[in-house]
Amino acid sequence: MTAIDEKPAPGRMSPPLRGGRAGLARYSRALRTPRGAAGAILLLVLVTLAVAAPLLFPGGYDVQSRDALALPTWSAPFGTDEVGRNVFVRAVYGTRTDLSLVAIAVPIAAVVGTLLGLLGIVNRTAGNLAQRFLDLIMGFPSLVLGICVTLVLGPGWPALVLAMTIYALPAFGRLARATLLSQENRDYVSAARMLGVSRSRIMGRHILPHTLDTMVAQMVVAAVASIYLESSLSIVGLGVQPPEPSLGVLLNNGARYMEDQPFYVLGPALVLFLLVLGFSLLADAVTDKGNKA
Amino acid sequence: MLTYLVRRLPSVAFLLVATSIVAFALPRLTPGDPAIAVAGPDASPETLELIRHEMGLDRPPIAQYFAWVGGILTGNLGMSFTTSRPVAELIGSRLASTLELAIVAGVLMVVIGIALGVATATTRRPLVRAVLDAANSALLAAPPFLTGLFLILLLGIFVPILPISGEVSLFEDPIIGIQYLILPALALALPQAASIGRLVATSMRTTAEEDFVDLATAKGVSRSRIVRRHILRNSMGPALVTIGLRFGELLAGAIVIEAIFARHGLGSLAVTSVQTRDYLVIQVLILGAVAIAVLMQVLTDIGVAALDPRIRLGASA
Amino acid sequence: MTRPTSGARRAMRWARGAAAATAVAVALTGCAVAQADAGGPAAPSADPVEGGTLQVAAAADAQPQFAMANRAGNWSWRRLVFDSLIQLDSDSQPQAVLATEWSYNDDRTELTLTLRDDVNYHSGRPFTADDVVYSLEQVKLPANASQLAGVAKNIETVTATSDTEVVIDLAAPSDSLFDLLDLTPIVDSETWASIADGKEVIGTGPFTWDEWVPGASLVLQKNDAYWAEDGPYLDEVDISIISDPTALQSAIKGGAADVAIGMAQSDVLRLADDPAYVLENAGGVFYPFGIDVEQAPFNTPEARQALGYAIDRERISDQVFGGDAILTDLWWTPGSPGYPTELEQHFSYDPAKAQKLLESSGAAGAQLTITYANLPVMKSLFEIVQNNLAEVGLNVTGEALDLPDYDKRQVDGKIGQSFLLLHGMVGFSSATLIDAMPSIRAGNPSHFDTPEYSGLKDAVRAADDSTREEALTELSEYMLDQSFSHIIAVAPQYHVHTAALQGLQVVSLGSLVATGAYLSE
Repeated sequence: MTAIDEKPAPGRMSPPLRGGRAGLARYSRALRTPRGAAGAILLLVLVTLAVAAPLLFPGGYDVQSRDALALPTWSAPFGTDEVGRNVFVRAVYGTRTDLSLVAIAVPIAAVVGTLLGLLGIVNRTAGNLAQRFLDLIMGFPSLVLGICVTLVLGPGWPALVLAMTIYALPAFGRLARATLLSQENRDYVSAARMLGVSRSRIMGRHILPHTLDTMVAQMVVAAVASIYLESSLSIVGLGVQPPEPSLGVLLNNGARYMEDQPFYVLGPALVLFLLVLGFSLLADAVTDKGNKA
Repeated sequence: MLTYLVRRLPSVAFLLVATSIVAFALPRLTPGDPAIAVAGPDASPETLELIRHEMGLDRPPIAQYFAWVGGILTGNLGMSFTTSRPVAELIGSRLASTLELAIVAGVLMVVIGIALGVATATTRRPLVRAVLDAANSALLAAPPFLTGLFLILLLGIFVPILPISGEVSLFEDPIIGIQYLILPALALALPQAASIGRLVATSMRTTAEEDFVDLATAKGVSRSRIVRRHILRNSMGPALVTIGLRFGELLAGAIVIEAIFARHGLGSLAVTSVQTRDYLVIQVLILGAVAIAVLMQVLTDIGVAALDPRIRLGASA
Repeated sequence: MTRPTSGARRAMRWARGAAAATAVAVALTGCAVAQADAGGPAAPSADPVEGGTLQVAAAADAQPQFAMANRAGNWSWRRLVFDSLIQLDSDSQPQAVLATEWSYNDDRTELTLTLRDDVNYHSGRPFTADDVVYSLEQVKLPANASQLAGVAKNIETVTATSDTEVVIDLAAPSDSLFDLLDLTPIVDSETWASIADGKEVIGTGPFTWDEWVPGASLVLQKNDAYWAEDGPYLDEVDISIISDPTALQSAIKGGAADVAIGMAQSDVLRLADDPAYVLENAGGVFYPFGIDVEQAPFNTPEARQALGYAIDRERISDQVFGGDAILTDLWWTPGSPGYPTELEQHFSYDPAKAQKLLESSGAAGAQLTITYANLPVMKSLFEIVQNNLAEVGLNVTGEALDLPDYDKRQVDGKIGQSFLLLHGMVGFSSATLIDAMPSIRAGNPSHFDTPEYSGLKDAVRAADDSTREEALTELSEYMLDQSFSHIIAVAPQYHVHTAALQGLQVVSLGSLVATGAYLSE
């Protein structure tokens, strides 16, 4: 699910990045590529739908009726579910749930993970310790981790956010550390050290900008992986709790009725696909991968 | 390489000790009491105490922890609470199933991934490239359980040519066994294949711009030879690392795939053990999973160094 | 960059070649296809066919140490490995199995049974009356978790008067004794104590316990020395544990299994019209919605009655059970002797009335937590119930629990403020149910216990044909008024098997009997 290298590509030496306006220019250039634009539009549509859900569908996601497992109509483009709820409405609210969870968990994981990864600058041993801690999480079977955290805290949002955060930490940590290692022996860093620049300033002004690009791309990857974690937890009944919908819950429930009402699963699957696609395209554009075409 | 392994040892040992502590503590923090699961909800308090004593649950946690670790080091993995069978036996009976699935999925993932990546990177026709890109994105976006469900519907029910439930061991009957493995392995492999494909394609494009490739073209070397000998080989470094990572994700996705295709592997054992609070089984599975992950890391590090002499082992330890 | 690349073409050529090679290999080796023949129904042969392996797909794992209890995981093998003394037929009349004759004394406090003399255990040891004594004593022990322990406690003594005769002495006449004799397997006193690890499970039944991989599979072999004349015909029974509902459905539809046990109701009903499959009635399940009567504001009967009017039982029957549920408010087996039919529809779906009752009892807009087990059917029930209760203004929160967590709460006596339960007990007599059904028996999770309640229950326990209906009606009226437990559905349960499987019986609340079963293709 990631196109990010774990080790710095051999033979490609990138100069020290300039932050500030040059960075901004890079991002806006990314948005003007066909990939970037497509990704941004997709995400914009989905995020707007998700945010505006209570306004568009004020009845909420739990309006049940006797018309169960009905095929699509104009007012219910994905049909109804097994208790007569509008699947399209639930898919929109489900996107809202997933995006909300992700919007909390991923940034926390990014910040904490990156700091853990960069700990090596401050103290070599602390850095190694942090890496071992991240290795532990990485090796832990993700679903088992999710189940245990959810059982300890009780099923619901706090458990899900915690599970997603912990699960996403290692990737950020390793990325940060990889960047750290690739940059710390470089001439400009040695020069800065010799000049007496403090460690934290080196970290903040010189090394950190390098991590930002890959961090943004990794945030996208982590967002997608977190959504999948929630879906997997839904399979064992530990995702968001009924009647709250998430894309994972809809996929799981809809799968059972695939033969009677295929749009129950196809609709949310399409939404999930578009969401992930939007994220991926944007990530590609930002990391300049698309520009190499 | 030997010095590299020796230098890695302390951190690996530390990691395993830390994992054992977490593996021990985490399940015990979950609500519920395995003694009741064994005694039944109608048991009297005395019966319950007796059973807790038999299971060793009335000793202080530290004592239980050291007893368990001592057992592991001497080869005794403990007894499962809910089935009264040795943990080693339970795991052994499921190991083959998961291994078969993982290996077949791993092979599929590497083969399809590299083929996809090579095809994407070397095609000249923009339409083909667009189609491959779209396919790649589609596969990346589809979680294994969704792919699995669609494969079941398509190839198991609508056009029934493959079995969709159950398993037959490859050792018992390779031909039938493979048929049971194809759909689950494919469902598992496809998203990872797409990820590998994308990485390979990117890596190849990057390498293709290196000077030595221009030189080879100028010398008149055929394109396919350039792709094979120069580009592919130099791109494999990062690809190998990703393959190692992807394998780990494969194992993670195996749990869900096992449920959908009714395969009895370690994944479903892990989930059931947590749900029934079978502590000792879960502890061993977690420890084992982390140990395997560490092993994969070490192997990929060695593999990368073998492919690219410029990278010294231990540069990023 | 000049010539069009051969890289991509080579990759595609390779892929095409590989596909072709595989196809050729498959054709050449003429290998077996694992996809079973899911084609049309075979013409069933009237004569039993010897041999064959029966494939069973079951949702729950075997629990050998609880063979005395009626547990879903044991339905697939309990009556294959063990025999009971008698078997109740569809009219609740006992038929001979290990016991050939039986008779009460005049005041129904002593039952004498004559046993077969030609039965051996799988270990070779002959079956005698002592084994009956042992088994009936075991039922009383809580460790064996029999739902009929309460009925067994009414037995004062069980005596073996000879190798083939047993006398059961009761403290009081009991309307549930034959339920007990039907459900209780006659086990092997030599190996019962160590049965938990499933290494040695010895019974007298038509199949022997061969190999159990916990959570995965169970294999039974034909008992060639079985005492019955006609059967068993099958050589082997292979049971696969498949807990995922979608996979379970795939197993029988794809042909991997001949029998599916534990399929979701809606999945089962989809096969009802397909001539390739047969649905066997396997008893049924009561689904009560219970309330803790000690917690305000639902500590008044009025507030609890409101809940009864708020729930849309018809929609539950339609959407959770495919329209196949029985709409009744009563806790007794529908159609059983003495069943008060006029009280069946006491509560109707009336949200307006529910709201009025809530207001007058001071429970309007109250918080309500509903606890339920983390199973698909309970989740579906919860979705509808919480929607119904939210419509009448209550503030509902759900709490899904895993089984160990749930069990612990039950032992501690505190499941929650309200809870959705399930009891697979349709088929028991009313006298048995008042002591066996956890929702209504003494020590129930609603903490409901009044002298009047005990008195009314005593009357039902000791009733006979002439007094039963009146006693049951009085008890039902009291319970409906107190409303500490609402039955929101009674769903018949079905096991599904292919039409090619003949002679399979389903008895005592879901157990398979395969003595006369054969595969006719």
